[in-house]
Amino acid sequence: MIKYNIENCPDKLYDESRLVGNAIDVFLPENQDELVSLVRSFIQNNENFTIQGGRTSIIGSSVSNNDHIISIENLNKKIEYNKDNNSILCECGVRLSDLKDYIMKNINGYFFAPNPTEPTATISGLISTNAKGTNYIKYGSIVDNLLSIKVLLPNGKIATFHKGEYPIDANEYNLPNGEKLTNLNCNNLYSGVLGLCKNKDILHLFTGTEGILGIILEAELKLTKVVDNKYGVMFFFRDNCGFDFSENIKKLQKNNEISLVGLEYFDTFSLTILRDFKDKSSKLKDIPDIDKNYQNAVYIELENECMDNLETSLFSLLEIFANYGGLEEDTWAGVGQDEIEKFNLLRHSLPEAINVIIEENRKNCPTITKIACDYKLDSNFRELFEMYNTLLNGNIDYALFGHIGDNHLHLNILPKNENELDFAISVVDKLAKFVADNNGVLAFENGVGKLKAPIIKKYINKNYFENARKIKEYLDKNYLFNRGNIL
Amino acid sequence: MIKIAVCIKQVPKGDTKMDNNGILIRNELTTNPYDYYALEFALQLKDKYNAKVDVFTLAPPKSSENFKEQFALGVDECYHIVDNAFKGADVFATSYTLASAISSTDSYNLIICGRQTTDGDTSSVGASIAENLHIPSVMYVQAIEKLCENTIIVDRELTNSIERLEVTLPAIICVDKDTVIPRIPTLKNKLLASKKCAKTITLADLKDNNPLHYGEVGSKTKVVKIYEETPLEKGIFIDGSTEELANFIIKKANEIKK
Amino acid sequence: MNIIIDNKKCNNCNKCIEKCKFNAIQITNKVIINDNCVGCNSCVNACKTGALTLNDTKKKQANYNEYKGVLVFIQVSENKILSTSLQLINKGRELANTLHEKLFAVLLGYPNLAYDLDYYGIDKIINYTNTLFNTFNAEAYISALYETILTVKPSIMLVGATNEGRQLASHLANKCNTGLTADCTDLQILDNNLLQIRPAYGGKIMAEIITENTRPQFATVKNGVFDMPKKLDISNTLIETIDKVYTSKNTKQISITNKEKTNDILNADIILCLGNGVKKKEDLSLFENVAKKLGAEIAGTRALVEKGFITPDRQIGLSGNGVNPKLLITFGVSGSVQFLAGVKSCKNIVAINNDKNATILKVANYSIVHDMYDIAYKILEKV
Repeated sequence: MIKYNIENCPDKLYDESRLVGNAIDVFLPENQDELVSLVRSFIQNNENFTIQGGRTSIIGSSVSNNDHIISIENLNKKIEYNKDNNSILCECGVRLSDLKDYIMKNINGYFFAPNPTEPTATISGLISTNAKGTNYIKYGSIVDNLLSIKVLLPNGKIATFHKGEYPIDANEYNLPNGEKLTNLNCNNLYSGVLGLCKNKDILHLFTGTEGILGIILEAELKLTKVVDNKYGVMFFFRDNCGFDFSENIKKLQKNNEISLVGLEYFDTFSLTILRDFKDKSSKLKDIPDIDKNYQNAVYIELENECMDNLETSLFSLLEIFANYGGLEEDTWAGVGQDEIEKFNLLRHSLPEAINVIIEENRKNCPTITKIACDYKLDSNFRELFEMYNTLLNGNIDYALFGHIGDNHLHLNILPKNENELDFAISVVDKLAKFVADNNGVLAFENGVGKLKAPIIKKYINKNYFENARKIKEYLDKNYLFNRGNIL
Repeated sequence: MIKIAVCIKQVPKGDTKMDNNGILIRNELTTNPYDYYALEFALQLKDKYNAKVDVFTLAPPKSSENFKEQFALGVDECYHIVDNAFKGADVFATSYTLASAISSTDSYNLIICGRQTTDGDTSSVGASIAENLHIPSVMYVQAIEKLCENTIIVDRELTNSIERLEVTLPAIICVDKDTVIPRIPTLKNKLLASKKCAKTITLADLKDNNPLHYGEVGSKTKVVKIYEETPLEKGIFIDGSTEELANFIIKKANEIKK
Repeated sequence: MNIIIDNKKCNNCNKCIEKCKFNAIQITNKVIINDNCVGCNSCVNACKTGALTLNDTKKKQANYNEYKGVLVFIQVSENKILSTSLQLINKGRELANTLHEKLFAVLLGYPNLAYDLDYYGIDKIINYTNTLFNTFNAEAYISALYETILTVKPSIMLVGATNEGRQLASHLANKCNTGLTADCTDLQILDNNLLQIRPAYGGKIMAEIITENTRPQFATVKNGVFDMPKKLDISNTLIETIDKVYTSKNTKQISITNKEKTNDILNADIILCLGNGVKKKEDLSLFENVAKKLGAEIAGTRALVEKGFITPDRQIGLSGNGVNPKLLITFGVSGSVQFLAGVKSCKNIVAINNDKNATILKVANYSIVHDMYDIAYKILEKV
């Protein structure tokens, strides 16, 4: 195991959130035994530490505040296929890209279903944020695809939990050692963090909790059968009909009329950003220009065991598209994963392009930070959508895009000066209140970390927060694990 | 009406590797990436001049799915040139087969090829077809300036310059990549294309149906050995004084510069 | 398929299956050769019982034995003989020596340059002296070169793999009804045949190819594959001048413009990539000078782009560019996963980092643990 002085690896002080922290030193254990001994010694001496994987967090989960840093990036050697269980067992440091390569080389006809976009994220990173991708609609999040996890608990013990083994009853939580946490009033305001609801089990306790309750050492990932027939289609709108079109599609999905794998929305400024970025990025050189008349776009991905059924659904979609003023020539279609890759490339470029814009803006005004939120609101989604636009339109640059299929859009506000920055923060705040009041989820996808902790604390149901604290203090009363995340 | 033929090749997807017994692992076939540009040039001419665009592909039977992609983009006809007699063809025989199939099918004003393929990669099919059909050829075309009744004006890239040429038709042009952006088909065209099939051209359909002119028998070159390339070792630590290290780096750069 | 199968003679020794690299042979109750067969005939060579024999309808071309020697096409650009052509003179001489045959060169136009080819061991230079040939014209060149081939009757013809060269070689080979292997990475003589070696099937597999029954054997070769020749002390080179001219009937040049030299990292042969080891923006000029001396393009990691040291078009990494130069030299790059994703096809990496545990040192081909500034200054001293 290598121990570094922090001066020698300054990149470990920050992650993708661009927050910069401080650290005492940095440890890189080579294997699980080294990691476990190190953590046990910290526990014994009451020393705080922050765990890092790929440091791809965009909300500061990997940023240390004068802690020891432990990077698990070298715990990446174990990837094992279990044919009987149809699962893969891997160590915490295995990256998503390594997992995908392994599956491609060794396994036919199956894949690890969740498709979050960051290829360099580690498995433990995916678990700690309960990551999800565009196909969440059909395949769920990481926790839905986990069979078991091996956890190093804050008491120094190692435990392996299998799905369904320790179910959580509402109001009561059974711990593996036979103890119960009772009198906990739990309305799940957001999945992941300390969600205590029916049909959940102990896996939900450690998934999405950003390492504050335990360290994932290994996980067993469920594999899903690949559905061969897949279509990806971009629908471009010359009027602002994308939202209504999407709502219509969601209804079809609800009535089981189509098998939706993804439903993504791009607002006007998102398309503008992509048009500009295409000129600069060599990766996008083979993607046709986005017509300047297009106001917004909706990306739909469908799959079906039977190609004929799939095509019938798509003909229906074309009719619906026409009802919303869509023109036949304003569509792009691809069949099969290779053709669909172009659309993935385009979608993934949007966050990258936004980061470039933020960096540009920072050159003129160094205090500018990323102002992003991903609220999910099932009940009054249309109202929230309209609020985004009424509050921001004409006042500031902003991009609204993402998983409209599960009522979950990414908002990135792009302030250019201090005034706009203050305005942006106030809007995010206002929206948060609305979402919290309507029992929405304040941080659905990327986690809470340190960046979003203040807003969560401000708006989340107070009882709920108390419950969360109780669980934390039960497991890690000295707040040694990943201090500053969430709570 | 202007008639354009596009030659498209089916190539193995991704990197071809050998398994532990030294046997070539056959990957699925996909359209040669360079050929999308040839197709896009042809389709742009179709849009502008109302031309007819036909695709010719010499490929084994199992690659029939890939034609749907081309129909979806807007080609009028796809010809799948397939016969046992055509197997094992090198560039010489392949070019002859394509030339034979094209001239047996229709008289085309213009034939467009991609610059090269991801397997094989000789870049010489276009020129060889030109020789077979006794028509002029231009390689490394970057742009088509104008298509007229009897001539075409193109820009082509040479070692140090870009040349604008006027070429009499019929002619064959080989277009470079990154010259145009290949279009993405609309949903409707994609759906309609899924029911379309390519027409087959077999040895019997060709004007010259002598099997000795095709396939392995009609080839001039032969592969006598294949093996996996031994990659450079990794992690070789070079020690030495600053001077020795600087010399090492200069030497490495000079090896490339020449 | 050119193989005659006599099932009665098969003794199921399976040697043919062992030798086949293409999985083309199956033996059930009879021998079946399937679609995968490329005709390399390794199975025929392995079969000792005569169950597999060649259907040798391929005979050598009629005047096969008249073709002797190596002919190299000399390409000129901007009034200079291209290095590629000289490299092929070097290799051509070596091949001719192995065959105990002569080396010829053909130069179209540029009569003033014919003497520059002296002292390289060429037996005869054929120079079409008319300066109309100074301008590249495919049709005219093909006519003149075809005439040369019919006169010289070389066993081997070598052409530099430039845009012009490839076009000429492709036409000529087909005109001569013979084989061509393009972009060869090596050439050898095997049993009097030219063994043409090049990557095939997309890159990691090498193929050895021969043109067995026809002449000339054509090969094109890229710049830098072979070494430049050294001048000899004595010269026996004859220069034969031809005053003929050929024009083109079907192509007419309308205009010609010089190409702008692109200095982007995507097309660079050598890239010098900087990482967090660069301490100040002012230090960049030091490394830019080093890059210039080495003939490299400058690139940087994302960290450097964010610090404003390097422009985004020069970024290498997952969210930057993927590059595959012939040589990548990294200075002070640690080798994060995001960076490595941008260089995963690089086969030739030299990495300098003063931290012996830096990840890049495990991934590079040549790893140097040293102060990057010291090396940079030393390189500038030397060059």
